[in-house]
Amino acid sequence: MSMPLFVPNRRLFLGTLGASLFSVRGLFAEELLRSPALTEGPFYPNKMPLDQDNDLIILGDSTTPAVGEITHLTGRVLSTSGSPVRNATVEIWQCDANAVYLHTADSNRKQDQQDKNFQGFGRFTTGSAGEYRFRTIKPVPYPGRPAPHIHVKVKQGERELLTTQFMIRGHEGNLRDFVFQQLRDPVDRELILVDFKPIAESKFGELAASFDIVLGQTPDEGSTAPGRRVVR
Amino acid sequence: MRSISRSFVLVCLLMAATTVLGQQPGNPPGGNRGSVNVEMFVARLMNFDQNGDGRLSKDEITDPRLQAMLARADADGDGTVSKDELTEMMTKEITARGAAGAGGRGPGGPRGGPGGVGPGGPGFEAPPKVGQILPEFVRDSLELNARQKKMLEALQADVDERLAKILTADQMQQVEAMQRRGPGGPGGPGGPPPDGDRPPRRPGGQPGGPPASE
Repeated sequence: MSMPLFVPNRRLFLGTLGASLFSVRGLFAEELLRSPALTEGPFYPNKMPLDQDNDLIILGDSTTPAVGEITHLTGRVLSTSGSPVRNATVEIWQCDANAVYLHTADSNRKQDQQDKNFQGFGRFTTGSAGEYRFRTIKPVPYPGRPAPHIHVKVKQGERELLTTQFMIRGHEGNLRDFVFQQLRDPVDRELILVDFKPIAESKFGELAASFDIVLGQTPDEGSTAPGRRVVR
Repeated sequence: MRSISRSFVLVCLLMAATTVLGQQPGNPPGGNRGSVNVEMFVARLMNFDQNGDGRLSKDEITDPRLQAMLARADADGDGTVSKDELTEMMTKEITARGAAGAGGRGPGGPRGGPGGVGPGGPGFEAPPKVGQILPEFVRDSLELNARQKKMLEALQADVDERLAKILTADQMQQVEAMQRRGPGGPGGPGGPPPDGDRPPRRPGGQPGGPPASE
C-alpha cells in the first residue's frame, strides 16, 4: 500500500478529504456519498470460470439459460465529486437460484442442487462514461443470509478500490441479515439498496436494476474523464 | 479472576440498564447507541445544507440516491426537511431495524432460552450459539436422518453438560448475556466474527454424516 505523493486531481483530492471531515458543516461537502464497504464473504470464486463476461445467464456457447429472474443490472462508477471513473473493473458474484456459489467450498457439497448453467461470476470494465452492465439473476437468500445480495468488487488493475454488496430494497430479509445490520447509519443502508423493477416491454418478466457505485478512494491518475461531471 | 468476570457482568448489566433507560418503553435492545449515532447520521446529511438555513431542500441534496430518503423524512410535506424531521425519521428507522433484528427470531426463539434449539424458523442468520455443534441451518441443509438426529442431540446434551462444568456460573451468565445481545448489538458477541455468507463452519464435504474426524 503506497499513498500517492502527487495528487493530480485537486477536486478528487478535496472530495476524498471531505469524506473524512463530513461532520464539519459545509466544508468540502461531497456531491455524492461514497458507497459503504461490506464484507467480501468466503465465496469469491476460488476457481475462475472460463466464461467471465458480463452475461451470467448464458455460459459459453450453451443455449440453456440459468434459472432465475433475469435482471439487467446497470450503473456507473463515480467519484464523490460525480466524475465517471473509467477503466474500473466491476466484478460481481452471487449464488445461483438454488443458493449455490461458484466456489468449491460451497458447490462441492451441493452438486445436485447447483444450477450448472449459471455463471456465478462476471466482470465488466467501464469506459469513459463510467458505465457498467450485467445480465444476471435477481439474487435469492442464502442459508444464514436472509438478505438476497450480489457481491461487488471494483478494481483498477490489481488495485482493489471497493468491496461491497447490493441488496434488494424492501426485502423482508434485510432487517434480519447480519451483514445488512452492520450498516448502522440508515444513509449507508440507502446506498447499497437497489430497486428491481419489471421491464414493461419484456415478455419474460425481466427486471431492471440500476445502481451507481461511488468510490471514496482516489482512482488512479487520468482514470476519471475530465469535464464530465454528472450533476442531476 | 472471579472479580474480573463479576465486574464484566456488572458492565453488561449497566449497559443493559442504559439501554432500557435511554429508550422509550417497548423499544428493543440493540439501539442504545442510536441516540448518539442519530446525531452523527443527521449531521452527515445536514452537511448538504449549503445555504445554512437548517433545512435540506431537494436541490441541496446533490446525491440522487438520497432523494427517496429525504422524501420519507419530509413529514409535513413542505418539500424541505428540517433537522427535527430528519432526526425523527432516522430514529424511527434505526428502531425498526432493532425491532426486526430481535423480532425476526420469533418469540422465545432459540437465541433467548438456553437449550432452546427450536428447529426451523427464520432464526439461523445469527452467529451460531456458543457450544452448539451444528447450527440450525447446517443441520437443515444436511437433512439428517432420525438416528443421526438422535445421536446429535445426545452429543449436544453431553457438550452442554460438560461445558457447564467447565465454566463458572458467572461465566455462563456472561455467555448468555453476550448471546442475548446478538448481532443487533455493536460488533456482535465475542464469538467467531461474522464475516460474510456463512458457510457451515466445518463444511466437511460429507453431507449427511455426523461430525466426522478427518
